[in-house]
Amino acid sequence: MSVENAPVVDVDEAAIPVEKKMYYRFESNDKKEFRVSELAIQQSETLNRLVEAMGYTSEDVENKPAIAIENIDGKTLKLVFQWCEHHKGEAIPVDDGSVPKIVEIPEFDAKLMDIDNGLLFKLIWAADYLNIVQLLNVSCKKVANMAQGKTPAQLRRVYLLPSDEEDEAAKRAAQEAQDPRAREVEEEFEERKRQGGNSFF
Amino acid sequence: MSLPYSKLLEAAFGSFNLDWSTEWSPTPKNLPLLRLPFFALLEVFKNLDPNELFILSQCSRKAAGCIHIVGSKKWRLTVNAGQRTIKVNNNYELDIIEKLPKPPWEYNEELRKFFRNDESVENGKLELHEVLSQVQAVFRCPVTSFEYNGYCYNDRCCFSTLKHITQTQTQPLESLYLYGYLKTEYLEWVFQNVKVTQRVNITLLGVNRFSSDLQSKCERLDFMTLNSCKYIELTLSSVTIHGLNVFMKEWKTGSYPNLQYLLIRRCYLSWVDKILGFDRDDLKQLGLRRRLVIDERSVECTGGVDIQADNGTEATMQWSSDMFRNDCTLGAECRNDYL
Repeated sequence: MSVENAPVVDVDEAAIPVEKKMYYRFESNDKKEFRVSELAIQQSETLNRLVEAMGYTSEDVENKPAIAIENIDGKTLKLVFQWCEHHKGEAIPVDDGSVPKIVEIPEFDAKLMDIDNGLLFKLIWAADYLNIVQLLNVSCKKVANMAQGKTPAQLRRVYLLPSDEEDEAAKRAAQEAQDPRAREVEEEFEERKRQGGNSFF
Repeated sequence: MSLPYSKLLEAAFGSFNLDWSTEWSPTPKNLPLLRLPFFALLEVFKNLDPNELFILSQCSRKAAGCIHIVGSKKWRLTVNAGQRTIKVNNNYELDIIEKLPKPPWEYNEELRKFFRNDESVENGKLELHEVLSQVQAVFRCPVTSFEYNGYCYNDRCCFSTLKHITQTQTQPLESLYLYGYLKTEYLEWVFQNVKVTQRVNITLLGVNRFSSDLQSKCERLDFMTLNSCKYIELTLSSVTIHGLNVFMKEWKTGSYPNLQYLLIRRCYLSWVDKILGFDRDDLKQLGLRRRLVIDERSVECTGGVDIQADNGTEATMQWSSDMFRNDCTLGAECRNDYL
């Protein structure tokens, strides 16, 4: 995808100091390109350390290929960078250790995360991978809110938690997949038990 | 050209396998919680309160087994066997609701009282015990306070739970509060086995006939399990003036190094009796309310006298012939402040 056609994240240029006005280019695993301000990148510890290590000048940013983020698709990355641009310049929050943690979801974030759970799941993975602390906080808060007022049976459905029986069945299936002979031996053993045989071997 | 940057990312921050197309892939309404990366799962847990986490633990053994990552080992449990509640961090309360029929009232010869005999209801006594076991297994944190405030004769439940606590954790209790009609056999077991480090408050209603060994211990206030306590409040009719005097002398020579407050109730002093040179008016409740600060928590007392031990430490000693405080609500407030 050409840079001209790349979905550029809306940027409030007035809020960016003149000396920080540098935009990095990133490419998702489905080849969508994004331009992101240097200040917005600071919300991601991973990307911030990466661009610092690369030491790009303004010319390098334009002339060199976009930085590829191969683990994240364009749809998710667009949400990530929208979030970063909106919260650029904000301090990275520090956990105060309160139980439960006090996290408020701002209106912008709530709208941004008004998405299906498949995309929310990817957004959380991306926030974790790119180490965006506050995005991880708010997205996980949204997941935690799903538990409010739910019974264990409802939680199993919401969080796709297999029951103990399902876990054990999955474990058996995995073992059998590794050793197909195990099931045959077990069936043979059961058959001999039914026939009243005491000795298996 | 994208590969080198990607490699750089992986080299700098580790390799991640973001395979979302698993059998537990999310749907618009569901989200596979246990498929989240570790720090995200931790964040979700941090945003849930202890009650929500306990409910989540009931979904499966796998879910229950990972909840402790939230750091719950540092949490503290308060068990109230009378009310059948478990409090986490003195804030989040789990109520154990009985689904069983109400137990019958029975007359107890020993204490000459009618009691609601919970022991006659099959399995009723085990509910608190079982829930506590589950809470401890999920949060992996110790019970720091135990309370029993019961007029009902369900002390079997109380002591099976207390026994479970002392057997399953090495950490001693910080506080123990027992109030009511309690069977002698259970009390003897408590005095011999339950170690408490900070606060003890035992009020016995009725008359207990202890074995001769415990009787002499009660008379002399000789409980080794309490010798590291900072606050002791006992309402035992068996404490004698001689026993109190011996105890005070032992304290003065440093046998109870941490003690900061002692209140003995239902102990009768005559006007000629003296303890460490103080007469009964000095030691009894004077009606003056004041707050003592013990372990950064304030405790309200209604009188007593400050005495200095030989090693220079000071403690407030108070004696009373009364059964109750002048202001009963004060006692509850005081207890809640401290716990």
